[in-house]
Amino acid sequence: MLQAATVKRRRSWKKHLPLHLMLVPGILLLIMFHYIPMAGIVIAFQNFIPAKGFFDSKWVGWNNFEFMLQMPGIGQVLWNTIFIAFLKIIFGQIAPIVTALLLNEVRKSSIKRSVQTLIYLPHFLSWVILGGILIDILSPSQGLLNEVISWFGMEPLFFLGNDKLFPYVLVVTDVWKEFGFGTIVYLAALTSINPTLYEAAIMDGAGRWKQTIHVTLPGMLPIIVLLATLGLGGVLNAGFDQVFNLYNPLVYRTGDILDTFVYRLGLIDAQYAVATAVGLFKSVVSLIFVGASYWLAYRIAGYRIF
Amino acid sequence: MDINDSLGRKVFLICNNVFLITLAVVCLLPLINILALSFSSSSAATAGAVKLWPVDFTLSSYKYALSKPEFLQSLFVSIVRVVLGTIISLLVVVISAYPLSKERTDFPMRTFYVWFFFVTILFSGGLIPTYMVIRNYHMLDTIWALVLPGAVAVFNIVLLLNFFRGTPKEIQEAALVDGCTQWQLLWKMMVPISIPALATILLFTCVGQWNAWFDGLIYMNSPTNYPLQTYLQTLVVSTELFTAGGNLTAEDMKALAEVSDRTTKASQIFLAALPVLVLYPFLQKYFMKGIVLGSVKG
Amino acid sequence: MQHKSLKRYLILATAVMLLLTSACSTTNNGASGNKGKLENTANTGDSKGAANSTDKPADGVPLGKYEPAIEVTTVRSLPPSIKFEKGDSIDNNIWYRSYEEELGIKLINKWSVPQTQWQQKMNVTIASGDIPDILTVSANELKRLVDADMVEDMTEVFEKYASEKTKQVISNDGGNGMKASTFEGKLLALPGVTFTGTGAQMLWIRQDWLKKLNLPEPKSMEDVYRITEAFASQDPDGNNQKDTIGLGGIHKDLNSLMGFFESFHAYPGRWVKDDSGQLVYGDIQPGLKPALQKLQDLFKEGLIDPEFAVKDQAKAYELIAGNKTGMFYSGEGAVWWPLTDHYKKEKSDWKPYPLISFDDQPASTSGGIPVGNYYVVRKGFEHPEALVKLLNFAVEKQYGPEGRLDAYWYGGENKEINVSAFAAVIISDPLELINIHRGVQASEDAGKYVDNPIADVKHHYDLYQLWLSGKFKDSNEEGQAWSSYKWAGPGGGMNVVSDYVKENKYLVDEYSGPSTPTMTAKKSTLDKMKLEVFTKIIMGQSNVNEFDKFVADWKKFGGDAITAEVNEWYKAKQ
Repeated sequence: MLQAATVKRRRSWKKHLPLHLMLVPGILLLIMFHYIPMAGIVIAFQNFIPAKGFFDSKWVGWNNFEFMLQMPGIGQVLWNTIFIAFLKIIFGQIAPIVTALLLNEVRKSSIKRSVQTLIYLPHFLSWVILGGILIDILSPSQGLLNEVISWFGMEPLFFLGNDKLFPYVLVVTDVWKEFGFGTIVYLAALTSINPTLYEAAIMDGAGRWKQTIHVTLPGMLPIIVLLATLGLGGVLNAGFDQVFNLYNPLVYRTGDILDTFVYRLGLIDAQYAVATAVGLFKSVVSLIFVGASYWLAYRIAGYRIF
Repeated sequence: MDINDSLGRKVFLICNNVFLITLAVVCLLPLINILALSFSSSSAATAGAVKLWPVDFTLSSYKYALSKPEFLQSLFVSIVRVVLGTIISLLVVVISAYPLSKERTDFPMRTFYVWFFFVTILFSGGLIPTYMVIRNYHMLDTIWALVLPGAVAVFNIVLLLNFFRGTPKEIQEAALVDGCTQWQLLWKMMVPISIPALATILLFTCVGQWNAWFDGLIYMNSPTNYPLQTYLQTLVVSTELFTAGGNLTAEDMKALAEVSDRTTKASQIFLAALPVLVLYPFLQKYFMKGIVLGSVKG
Repeated sequence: MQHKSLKRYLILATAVMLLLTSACSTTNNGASGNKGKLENTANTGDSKGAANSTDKPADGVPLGKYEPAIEVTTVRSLPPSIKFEKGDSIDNNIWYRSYEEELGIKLINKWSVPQTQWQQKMNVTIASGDIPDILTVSANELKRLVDADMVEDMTEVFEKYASEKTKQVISNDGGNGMKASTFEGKLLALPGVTFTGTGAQMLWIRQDWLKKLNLPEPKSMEDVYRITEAFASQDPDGNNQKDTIGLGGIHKDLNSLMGFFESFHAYPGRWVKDDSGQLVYGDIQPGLKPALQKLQDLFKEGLIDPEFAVKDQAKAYELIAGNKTGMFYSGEGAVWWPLTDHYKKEKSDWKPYPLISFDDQPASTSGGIPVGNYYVVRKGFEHPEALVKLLNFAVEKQYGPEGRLDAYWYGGENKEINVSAFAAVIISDPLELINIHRGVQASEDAGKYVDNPIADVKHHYDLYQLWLSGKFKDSNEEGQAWSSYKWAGPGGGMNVVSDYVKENKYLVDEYSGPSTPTMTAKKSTLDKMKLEVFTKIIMGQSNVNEFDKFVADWKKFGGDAITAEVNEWYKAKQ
């Protein structure tokens, strides 16, 4: 019995050896460039002094975390971060799915292609550049958007200076910048749906709408679930570059996020330990979210997201 | 449009086209603005007079950008980086994604490995430890510092393994029964039938390598070794960062005048975006048309 | 419980770290090996330990040459406007070549980075403990390095090697810089003093608009308001549209309103002495209240940019470039940005006015921390005196018997290259800029160039004389030449600064120390609160009485503690 098991294991090992070997380069690179530096996370528990390095810096336990959580206004900042990040995750998922589905319906290949190319463009512009452009477009006095609004007889809105609107401006502009990126993945996913499924659906008398609901969407589901789960990994990343380039004193209340908060802290005095502690905190929260959705998908649907 | 389309369908198709084209135009506006700026005189640009059409048309900003040795130098670094980085990364991604795409019954360790890979997305040692490690590998100021740390693109691996999993199991099993090795199976079957996914990932990798700038700044010791985006980033910086000190001297103001010239920035941003704009339609045909079916049947 | 799990974590972490250490130690060995070699080569030429042996006659010579040359590492920041002679670079230029030829110091840049990204690169360098032999740091970085015991004590070498001229120039700022560089009696850095007058504010007004609307030059704040009103409503740009703004240049940072606040005897962001000799913070001074009230009034009347709160400086200056505003507060450097370009395009005529007080007390202006940067030497570097020698060298090239050789100052065909930017270590007389103006003024009074040891005097005087003669008309140099005139010439920006200094109307930030513990913890929150409250008051979203609440909050949430710490430092420094 025992022998048989060992033999079996040995055989299994031999059988899987090529698979293990294929993973070697990736694992080596990860260890070299990710796992070894991860030891640096200890900074989060130290009063890190560069000259002393990791070994001789004083251990302070959870002090850095407490320091952060005791900062005045941190509650509001955490709330803003989560609120903005969640909206971005949700709409950052929906927009590309809808766009991919709509593009799939376009018959004219020239339109299809050019639309697809153009919506990817904003991804290439940094927030510094877009910040300047958005201030113009969203200006209440001469902005393009407010001009459009005025055609409908509405009062101009100070999008970047109104703290009620600001989080939504962040969400919309971020989705606008990145949805072309997600669309590509979904379009690739669409191509891998087996055409016989459509043929079968047509035989059953399903119209385009029914085909979309019963064939296309289920076919995309694995990728949708995957990207949503990966998105959850960014639950505390509300987008530093974007917020930093767009926010201003009028919208501090609703627009200040964890990363801008830490950034300003560092401007006064570079605080590696606190920044690392905040980073670790974000990582752990992300891990909980991703881990939970991975586990739930497996428990409920027997499906491994990745 | 087919003649036998219903009226409702026709209306939908027209609305759909109009909607998508509007969407595309909205995405195009900022780039047109940048293009217009790049062809305008710098005084018109600083006056905020340039919207979607050049004012005082001139090519001087392009002449200036192309005459700067830094621009061409960094363009060269970028090209090397993209070529080398994409080849290495794509190879690693493919050979990593394949074993991880196996079911647990076929490869018992896969779930452990997947998480071993995935955790690196969430946790990182941060800038300083990574810098120290790369310094200790003596990679500072070399192209390897730009290419290797990001070579294992876990996001792409996870994406690709999902595409691999979506391919029919039967053909894999059949091939293995036929005496195919895993290695052959990967390159002869999986890769050809996953062209749309691979094209997607190729695009992401190229764009990722092309757009990355922060590593260039941190790991390169001299602006002459910067890739293009790092060089651009040193130009396209918010004046706020610059003025954070508050006490500006005349020299600082001269520097700010240089930094705030929008036309030269615009021309260089446009030139930097150009290669990707060219690459994109070329790759597009691979992920627009599914060729899955053909290979499966053949 | 918590402790136990932490311990386990630590053990794990240490295990992983061992990997790291082994890698570290090999490099360290490598580095020290190199150093050993270096020392050896140095020793073969000189007797043992060039720095330590005091009996050598070559020692203690401010500009003594190392035989054979020693290698010294440093790091450099490159301003965006930097230009080089053909074939030169930041690693190889007249300064670096002279360092090696004349001092026997082979200066090696471990890295160089554009100024806009300096901070990022510097943070990594300091945090990874990878600092070069000589480097330039800010007050906060200095504090961090001192706390970490990473910098060399310069007390003795400075005493021994600094030339008389260096000692004089470095303390010409009233000793502020040296005081700020001294920690517990030890001189741990050499201060790079800033120029007196840096940060001084003035009111720039477009003269062609003023004349067009028949307005008198401002004598009181009432006049300023009247001009603001007229510039906004009387169509100064003559396009028959009400599209101009009275007071421009204001952006979200509120630094842009410094001059306005100073007219009300308030100095936000600076530490100033009150009547009792205590330091108080400018953010809570009573003068701010009427100033904010006035700004609110101007905002309500539509005399300032309604969208200033979302704009950065470059964006705010678009209004100036776009002929939408003819008046703004700024420093003397405004001639370079944004006015050089504006003049080139519009031939607009701008004039700087000294600040006007809102009451019968004269208005003063203020500058930031009087020490711009500090030069430090890495702890353990064998030749700390090399820094002093480099400094002596720069001082000698400026104030030595040869005076300023052009080659070290201006280069290129049209003298458009600022060669002094290549110098790795340089300090100037704090009064230098003012003396440039005074030199130019002397030449102006004499009607011809009067010989002056400062090279810039001739540079600016000649340049703008050519402009006045009409030689640069519609050429590329026109903007630069005009700016030279408006900067150094009579009635220009430096003239205003020079008068401030002469009339004792220039205050410096009394606190030049590093961040105190409470600042580290609370200042970012207090700063944010200030910006929020001030902006909302100006925009009429809050009542001006919110200011009183802000002052109370500021004190309560850490301001009082910071004030106590700052005053403690101040007393200790006296």
